[in-house]
Amino acid sequence: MKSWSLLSTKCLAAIFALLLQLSGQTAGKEFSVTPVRGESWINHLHKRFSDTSMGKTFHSGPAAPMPGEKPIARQEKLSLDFAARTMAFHGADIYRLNCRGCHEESGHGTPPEINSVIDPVRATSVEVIMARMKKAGMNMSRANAALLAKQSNSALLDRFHKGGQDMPPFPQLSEPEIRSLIAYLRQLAGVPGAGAQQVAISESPSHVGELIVKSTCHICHNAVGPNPSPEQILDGAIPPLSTLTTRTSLPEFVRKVTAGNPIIMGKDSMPFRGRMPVFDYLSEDEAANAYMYLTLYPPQE
Amino acid sequence: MKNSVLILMIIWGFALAVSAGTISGQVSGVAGQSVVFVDTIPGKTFPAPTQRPLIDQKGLVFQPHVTAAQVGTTVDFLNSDSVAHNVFWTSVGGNKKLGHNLGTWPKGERKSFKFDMPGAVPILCNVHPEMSAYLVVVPTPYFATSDQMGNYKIENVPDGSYTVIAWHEGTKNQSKPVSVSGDTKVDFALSK
Repeated sequence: MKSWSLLSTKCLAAIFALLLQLSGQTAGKEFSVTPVRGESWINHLHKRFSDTSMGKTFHSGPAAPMPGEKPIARQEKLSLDFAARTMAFHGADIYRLNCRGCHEESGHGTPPEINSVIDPVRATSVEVIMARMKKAGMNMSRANAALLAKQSNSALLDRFHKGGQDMPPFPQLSEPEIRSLIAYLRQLAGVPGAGAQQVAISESPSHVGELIVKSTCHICHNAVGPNPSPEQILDGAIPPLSTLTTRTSLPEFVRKVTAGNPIIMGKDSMPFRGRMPVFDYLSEDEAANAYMYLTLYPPQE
Repeated sequence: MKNSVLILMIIWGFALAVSAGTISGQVSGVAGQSVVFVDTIPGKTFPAPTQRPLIDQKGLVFQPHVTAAQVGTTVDFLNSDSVAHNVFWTSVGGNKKLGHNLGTWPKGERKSFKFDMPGAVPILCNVHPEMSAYLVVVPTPYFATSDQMGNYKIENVPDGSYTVIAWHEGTKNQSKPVSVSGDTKVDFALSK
């Protein structure tokens, strides 16, 4: 896949658009994919990258090679048709692309900043409420439990649509995606019978990229802004999303996201591991979808 | 006119000081806060109080954990957390017909409820099962919430004979006949 790195951004955009058309998907129409806009979520909250657990996976990339050492060789495993293939996504995938960066694989988050999703989700189950109250010696009727469950369910839906004090809203998620996500959240929270209720959704590559960029990358990266110098990066600058497709080639981007890659920081232009977490739970194809999305739908103010 | 009011107040205050005492002591054998209160006094009724105690939901905890209030009190329930909370109870004094679901609401909003029947109310949040609090609704204005060590003091109790009850979560109430005259000591030993 080395050839991807030889192509210019413009050329890539044309290829991506062609691939999408060939696969019957017109960019920006059926899937109502829109560009990422505005400041990052942590900037919106006036939080510093170093003071938050948001978007952190707590995995870091490989150390940079010492002077004279060769960087670790790596074989890209990108699928040839990553830009054209429609994928069947389950709620677990929706969770992975949108929630896991902050709430972790387990859903427990990093309290007190990032709250656990488990209890609010369990609170939406009539069976769980009735079992809990029975255990506490306060048997509850099904009708009363159903009323509590209904309230918790609308509080949960509100959370996706409006966000919270520290949580962004998720307008990029469609209603079928939210339903599929809730089915998975119930499974994750151990709601009885939830495993059998999982549903698959067919997702276009550009929408997969959109979800990753808007829900995960945009937590820390602004949409647009100046391309920071190595010195500014050493001082904590985070390159805006609009610069990523020119700062890096497709294979470099995929590697940085999924496995980590040293970055040039500071006056002496030395490579360092960098501060960006490694998103090893994203596949290379998914990371490539994010690159393609950033190319086809350039980030806006 | 002002002077006569002042004199009246002084006389009234003096009269109170003469005829009213305190009930104080310790609730032992259990950890944490207890509620001690004077039970229904035959032939006596009390106006509904105007103070509104607040039970807050902050840091995924009900604060305070134990609240006492006289029958007829309106209690405010506030959500100070950035997540949605719910408030419900399944009974008042063990009477399941008095169970109520106050709703689920976001940060900064409060809801109120007037408690017209005496008894302990286990307060729960459906969203966070580890959260719990108790509201103890008592029949007279003579009550106190103890400190964590079980020390309590009920002020301004008129001299007389009463039944005094100690409540603690998870234990059976203990009652004692008490003759109040001036400062009276009553200790309770509870066991789980």
